[in-house]
Amino acid sequence: MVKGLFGRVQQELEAREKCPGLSMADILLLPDPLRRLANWLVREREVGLSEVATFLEQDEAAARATLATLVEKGFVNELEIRGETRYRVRLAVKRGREVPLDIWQCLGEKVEE
Amino acid sequence: MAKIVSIHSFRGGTGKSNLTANLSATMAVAGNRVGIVDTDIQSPGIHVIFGLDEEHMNRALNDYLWGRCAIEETAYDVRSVLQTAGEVPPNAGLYLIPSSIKPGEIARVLREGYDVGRLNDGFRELIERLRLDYLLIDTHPGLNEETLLSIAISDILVLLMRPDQQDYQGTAVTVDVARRLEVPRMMLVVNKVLPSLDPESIRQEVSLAYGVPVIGILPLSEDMVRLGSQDVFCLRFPDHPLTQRIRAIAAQVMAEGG
Repeated sequence: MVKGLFGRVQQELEAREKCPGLSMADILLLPDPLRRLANWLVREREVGLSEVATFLEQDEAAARATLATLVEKGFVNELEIRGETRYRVRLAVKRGREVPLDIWQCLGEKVEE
Repeated sequence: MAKIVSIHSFRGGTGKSNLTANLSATMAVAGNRVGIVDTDIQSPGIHVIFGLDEEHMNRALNDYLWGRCAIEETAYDVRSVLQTAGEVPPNAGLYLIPSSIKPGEIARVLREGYDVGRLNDGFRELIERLRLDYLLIDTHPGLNEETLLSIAISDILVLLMRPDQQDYQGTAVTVDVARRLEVPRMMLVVNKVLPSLDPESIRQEVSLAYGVPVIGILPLSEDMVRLGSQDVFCLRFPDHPLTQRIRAIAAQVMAEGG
């Protein structure tokens, strides 16, 4: 852990760069069982607990515990739809590149000339 | 059940857009309803091959990503390009969802980013609303967020590379990433191969190196270069040897998806 001013700057940068939700890069860094589940959730988009249990080949209590890890990280939203608990993957918004706005404005104007 | 096919390469200039256009047209001529999404938002180009220009592009993928319209409203019916192929099955369909070529729109995506979840939803909505058999995704080279998403949701990933050391290394990275994203089916195509090289030895070498089947070796074609993305090659030159090879690739993709 880097302390002092540099550490604070680094923390700030990390916080600024990470949007809430699951980025595709996050998936690559998840441990195997969670990565497998996250991959599947991205494909399915929204599923019920019984479907997750079937996919993981676990009982529903174990599947709920596995899902809880992803919910805690903010990667999956737990929703109540018509009395049923559904799980929907929450993909992170892709951040724009942080450069002075003037650059993009100038670029647009230049090309449109 | 519709299949999502991503056509990707680690490096630019491999011929992704041309391969995507030719595969999609070939699959449509075979009687499929095919959609193509240009997710190369930063440097779009496949619209040129289908004869779309800025004047005739009222809406693009960008409009959907900003919530200005439904995804199907950004789809252009480009079936007319198939006319040169002679009689086309009546159920055939070919739709292109281009990315905007307006500098301001490209700048906005780069500056503000976009909602990746919305892009994922859009792919599924397109399949449903246009009743597609195949959705082909023309990706941005390298590995970025939309490319990783395209790879992750693909049923089939077609990786394109040239016989070049930089391509060999980059493709190894992509194959590794695709395996971690558990793509059900991965295939390789080697493009721009010098006609003097032995295609069979390249096929063996590449498939052995990556453990991925090589479904096509395409020679560097002067006719393709001369056409300069002004048309869909397979439709313009139906009897060309390169067309035969592209058809063979399309047949293998369809065999996997069928």
